[in-house]
Amino acid sequence: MTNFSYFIAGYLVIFGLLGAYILRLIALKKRLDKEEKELLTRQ
Amino acid sequence: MSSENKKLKILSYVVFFMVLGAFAMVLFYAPIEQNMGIVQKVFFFHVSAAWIGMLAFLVAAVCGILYLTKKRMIFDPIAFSAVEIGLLFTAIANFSGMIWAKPIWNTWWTWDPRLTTMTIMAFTYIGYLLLRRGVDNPEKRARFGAVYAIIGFASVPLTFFSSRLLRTIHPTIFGGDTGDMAMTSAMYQTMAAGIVAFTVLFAALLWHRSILAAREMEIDALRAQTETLEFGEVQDD
Repeated sequence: MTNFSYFIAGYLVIFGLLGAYILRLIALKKRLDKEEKELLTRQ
Repeated sequence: MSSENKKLKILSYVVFFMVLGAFAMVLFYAPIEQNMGIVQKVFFFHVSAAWIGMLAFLVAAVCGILYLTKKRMIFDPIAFSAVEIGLLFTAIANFSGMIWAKPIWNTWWTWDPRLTTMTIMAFTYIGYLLLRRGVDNPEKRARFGAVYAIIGFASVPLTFFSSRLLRTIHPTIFGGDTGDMAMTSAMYQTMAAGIVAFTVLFAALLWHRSILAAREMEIDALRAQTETLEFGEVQDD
């Protein structure tokens, strides 16, 4: 049975979604750092 | 660096190598299943992801109970983070399942009881995230979130037992019929490695996300405080 492409697609989806979520957390951390700095400067 | 941050960093590295190890087992240790071929190997991480989805919603419900009984705000960002991560893993389980289903069932999707209840469960928790955004008061939001997470948890056993109690074509790995899939001990070991790796990954992600969620709340409070101060100064002028 040749379904190798589905196997590749399955793991691309799994690691792709995990990677995207980790990148989102990194972006969120950067945004929070920036916002906190701005608010403290305003105060 | 604080000792908490150091522990989290070490855990993150450990998780990376655990997931890598589990994936190596999928590639090189688990044999290729006779009936389904290599696509069956998607199942190892699919099952692990589905397990984490359910575990995350259990964590959210437990945090909800703890918040309502102890009234400690710390449980709210943990519950929120658990739901968000639970949805991520449920999406991984659903999409990887669809990719497995296409060559095996000859369709991407079917309204099978397991697939349907899994989708209902996902939408229940999407509702949790959307409705939380509509509540500005942090205490009201935490109370609402706690009650929702406890009631919403009813969708989890419904999903878990759907393939055991109802007629379904979805294989039941634990305590049921594995369908056309013949699992050897090497396959069970690989699946166990995947489940353990994803469980530790969940713990690490939950830790990271809870810290960020708590910071988001602090910054919201700081913003409100700053705006009040600025508004006061404008009025004085």
